[in-house]
Amino acid sequence: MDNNPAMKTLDSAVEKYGGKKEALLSIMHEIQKAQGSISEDSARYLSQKLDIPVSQVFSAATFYRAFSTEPRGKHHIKVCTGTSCYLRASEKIFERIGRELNIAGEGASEDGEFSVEKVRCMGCCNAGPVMAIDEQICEDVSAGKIPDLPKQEIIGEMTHRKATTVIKKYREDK
Amino acid sequence: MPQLTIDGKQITAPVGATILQVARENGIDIPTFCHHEALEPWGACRLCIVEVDEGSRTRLVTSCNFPVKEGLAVTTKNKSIIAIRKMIIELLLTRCPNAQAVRQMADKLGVTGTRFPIENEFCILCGMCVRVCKEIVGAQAISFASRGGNKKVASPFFKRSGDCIGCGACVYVCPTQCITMNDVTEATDVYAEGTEQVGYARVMNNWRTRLPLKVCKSCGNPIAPEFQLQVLGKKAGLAPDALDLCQGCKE
Ligand code: SF4
Ligand code: SF4
Ligand code: FES
Ligand code: FES
Repeated sequence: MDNNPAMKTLDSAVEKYGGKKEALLSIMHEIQKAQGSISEDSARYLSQKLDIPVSQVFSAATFYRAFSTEPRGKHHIKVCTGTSCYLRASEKIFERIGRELNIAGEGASEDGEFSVEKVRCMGCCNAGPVMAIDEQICEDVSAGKIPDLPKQEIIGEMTHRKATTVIKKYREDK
Repeated sequence: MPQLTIDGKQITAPVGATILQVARENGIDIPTFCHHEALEPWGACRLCIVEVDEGSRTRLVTSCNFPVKEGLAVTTKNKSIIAIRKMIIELLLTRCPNAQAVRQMADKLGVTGTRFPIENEFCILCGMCVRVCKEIVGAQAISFASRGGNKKVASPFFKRSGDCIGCGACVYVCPTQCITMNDVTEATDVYAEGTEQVGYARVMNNWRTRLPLKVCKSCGNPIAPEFQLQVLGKKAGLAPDALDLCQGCKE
């Protein structure tokens, strides 16, 4: 057994599901949550522990949106670029966020606080353009609004409260 | 045994057979791009679509994984089937304009060019390499990576695969010949401290994997990848020295 704390997380995730192969995805969810990614080391370790070829872990880790092989930030931002949001200029939102947080394209910021990713249709086109910060969906975002909100406010408030209220409040204040 | 018709021809088919199997046995040609007799049906390329009439309505299905049923009426060619197949091959031609197998299929289906901006891939993502490695070889050394437009076949993390036995089944099965391997007589490992000669080795170029070849104890010629002989010998329950000689020296 490994004494490395990262490996301990893996061990406890595996144990939680009784070391069952069929639980691979559930175990991967736990790891993604705890470590912000399914790293190569984690994938290889998991493959050994569960006796699954590493190719299968790799395939799952790159197939599902829920996982990422690159580290994600503490706060993960998803910008919808599905058809409907795309038509409402969500690419601009994506660009803007990148500029604000100093992230080029998809990926994480240097300090590891934020990461940003494009996703396809989050299932609420009527409220678009939408984005999500961690699990919190922010409706009716527009690129112009983003930079004016101080970073802490975007992240702090939006993650704890409904983002729309933050934006609305911001609008009212103006 | 189910009775059905394919393009109007009365056929009695074995239970559990697919439309594709039955059609081919009866000399009816259906184009395919992801089907291989030795592998489980996959249903990915959609080139093999046919129309089935089950009495109440007709619908388009992939013939490679659709089991025959009593009373089924199958049409393998009509206007909409041809149009769909042409569209599929046009898209493949867009992705892989230089792959011979794709060009041949395009010729066969009467598609002469593409209306879309071309790329220069060779892999058509038929998955045969991944499937042969899993179903026949049992190594599961490679898999699909990513999804959508970024999907590719790869070794884990695009690095050396520790599970690949260098059997070449994936090379053999690939319809577009985009997987390559070669045997070298003098492989060299390069370290910061210097280099080390490895001797005979097999290189699986796509999987970034190199396997030292075992040499015959008697004549010194390379036999096969050492790791492959270990794995196969273990599977077959052979004595550890059973594979020490090449075929020539054994006889
Ligand atoms: S050569 Fe390697 S990757 Fe290809 S089928 Fe054999 S074991 Fe699998
Ligand atoms: S590499 Fe060849 S066999 Fe593998 S998916 Fe691509 S085209 Fe098919
Ligand atoms: S396209 Fe963005 S939610 Fe549907
Ligand atoms: S051969 Fe049937 S879908 Fe590819």
